[in-house]
Amino acid sequence: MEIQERLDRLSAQMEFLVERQEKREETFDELSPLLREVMAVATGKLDDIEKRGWLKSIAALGEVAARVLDHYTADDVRALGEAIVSILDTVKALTQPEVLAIVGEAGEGLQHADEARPIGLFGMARASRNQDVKKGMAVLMELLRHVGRAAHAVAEKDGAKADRKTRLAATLGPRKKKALGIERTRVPRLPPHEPEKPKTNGHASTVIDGISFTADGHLADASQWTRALAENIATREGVALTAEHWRLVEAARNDFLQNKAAANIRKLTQISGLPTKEIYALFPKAPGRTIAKIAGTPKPVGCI
Amino acid sequence: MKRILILGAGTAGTMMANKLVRALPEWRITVVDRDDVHVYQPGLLFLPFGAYREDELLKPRRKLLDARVEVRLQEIDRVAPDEKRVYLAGGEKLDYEILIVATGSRILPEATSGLTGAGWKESAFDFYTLEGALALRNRLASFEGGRLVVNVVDMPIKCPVAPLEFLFLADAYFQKRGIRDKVELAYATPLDGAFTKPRASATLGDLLKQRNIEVIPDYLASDVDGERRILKAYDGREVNYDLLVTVPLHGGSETITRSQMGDGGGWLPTHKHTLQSLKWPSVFALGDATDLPSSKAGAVAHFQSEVLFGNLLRFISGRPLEAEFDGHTNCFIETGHGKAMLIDFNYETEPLPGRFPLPGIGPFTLLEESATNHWGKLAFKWVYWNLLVAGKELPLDHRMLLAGKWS
Repeated sequence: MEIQERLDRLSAQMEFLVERQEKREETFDELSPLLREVMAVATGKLDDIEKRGWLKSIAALGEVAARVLDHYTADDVRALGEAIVSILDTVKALTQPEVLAIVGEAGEGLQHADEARPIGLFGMARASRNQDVKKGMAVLMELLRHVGRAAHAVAEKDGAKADRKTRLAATLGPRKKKALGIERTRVPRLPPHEPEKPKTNGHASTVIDGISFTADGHLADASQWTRALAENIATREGVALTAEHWRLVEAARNDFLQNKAAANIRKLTQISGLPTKEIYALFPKAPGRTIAKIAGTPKPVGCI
Repeated sequence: MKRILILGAGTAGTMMANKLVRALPEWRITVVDRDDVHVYQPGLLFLPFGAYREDELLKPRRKLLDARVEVRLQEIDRVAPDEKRVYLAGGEKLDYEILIVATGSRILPEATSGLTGAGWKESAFDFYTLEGALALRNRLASFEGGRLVVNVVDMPIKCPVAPLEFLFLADAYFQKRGIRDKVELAYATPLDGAFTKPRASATLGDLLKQRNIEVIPDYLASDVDGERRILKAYDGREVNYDLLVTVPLHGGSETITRSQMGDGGGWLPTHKHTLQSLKWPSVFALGDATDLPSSKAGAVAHFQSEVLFGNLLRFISGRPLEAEFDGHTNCFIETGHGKAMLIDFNYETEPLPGRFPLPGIGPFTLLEESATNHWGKLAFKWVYWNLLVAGKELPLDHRMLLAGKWS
């Protein structure tokens, strides 16, 4: 009885599983055309993105991240994360138009620093009569006052943590110096941007007597073929053409004109009626390719 | 009820039958095959190295076919395309409105003189059949060193990169066993390099060199002397071996030859882009059975099946066929040590480096080794059984896209 109950329960379970399996199949059937659509769109979009060089930029960003990792520990980065708001605030404050104008002007002054002549105490007194310098000193004093106030606040707040801070500073010191470029260090360089290679597809050509040949020695333009040219190519291939040779060459030529594809050895045996052994007796070295060259056809591809 | 008759329930025939039976409820879809064993052929490559068990690679054909598909498990006597009729060996006649030839390809080791003579399955093996791959597994396990030669007798072959993969896997296998220094690996090929297409050939050639695998190019094998263990070529060169792994000559189905429908190799002359027979409008071909210059591989059969599916619907409703098949092929190339390469190409464009299928992202890397590709190759078995032969839509375009490829 108990077994029967169990079997019942089991079969119910099985039914449920089968049903679920069917549902899954259905879902897949419904989803697959959609998936295909998504793939098609994604392929197009990504191709565009790749062509614009975005992916290379992302890869370069990865390199930058790697460089950051070389210089900072996880603790540093975490600390940076905590400080990010105040960093951004600072950056924002520093990039207000008024501030930028002042900094820009100051930068101007620094650019001409080499022209400034050294001055002594009297010189300073004389310069302080200039209106611009007076204003500058006022700004500097204001700045100093802010720095001083902030320093006080920090000293009071971090009094307890002082110990840890000095320890941290001691460990971070050299690393930060490295990062700031004060201490020179070997920085992993980005791989050079390689220029795109031209597409060859194996058709880089050489020109002999005004006739172009592909890189693998086949006539570039099959319609340029003449019997005289065939004789020339044969000589270059080290074959003296007899009537027997010509039978094969002509068979290969005609087959090519008919089928638009170069015959390989097996095809040559079929169209010429000559067994492979005899073809090799006539053209001992790579007969398929040699005959194709002489008959002015492309290289026979092994059906691939 | 009108009938679409499919000859062959391999990769191509099975997925086509499943697609059609769902789309055409008013048609009878009939499939003929000689037995009920569907082999996951990509797995045969791994079998000799003990990476798969044989039972993982076999499933009953019936189980892979939709229940609505009519199945005949019988030898085919002959096809009479002018009568639109197929005669089965048991005497049954099947009339059809549309015939799909998906009879695949087979290996012909006996076509190379001496190959199946002395030493066959002792010092010379194939890995394109289940029996061959299993026999080779046993031989490899007891191989303690010597010269292993892989020879491709002639193109076309199924999965043109398989011989290279075999060499890469052999290199890794012998290294793992700690006897790589006692094994010489060589590749005798009728091609003038590792592969037919120039850039892939260069890349793969480099990989072979790195792994210390000798390439013997332009080698058209004429016969085998099994007693002395020598492989001979038409140009007089001889290659000696201790263990020969041959990729024998391939041919189309005997049925096609018997019915006088094939060319010299037994392949069905097929329109390169529409997949219709060049001679009989109601006959179409799919997969390895065609004489097309595309690879003989499951991926090709899949891309072709999408084109053929569209064309059959057009054919049925009397609209003109669309010439869409571009020769699209892609395949993973196992390079050993948990890595693989991926190539994607067609009639016109050779394999280029890049990312696939999503440009810039992949996750697969084209013409470049990566572990992701290897996982892709292993995951493919699941995709094959559950999606590919089931005829489900895969999120891949049947056309080869240049997106994501770097020229």
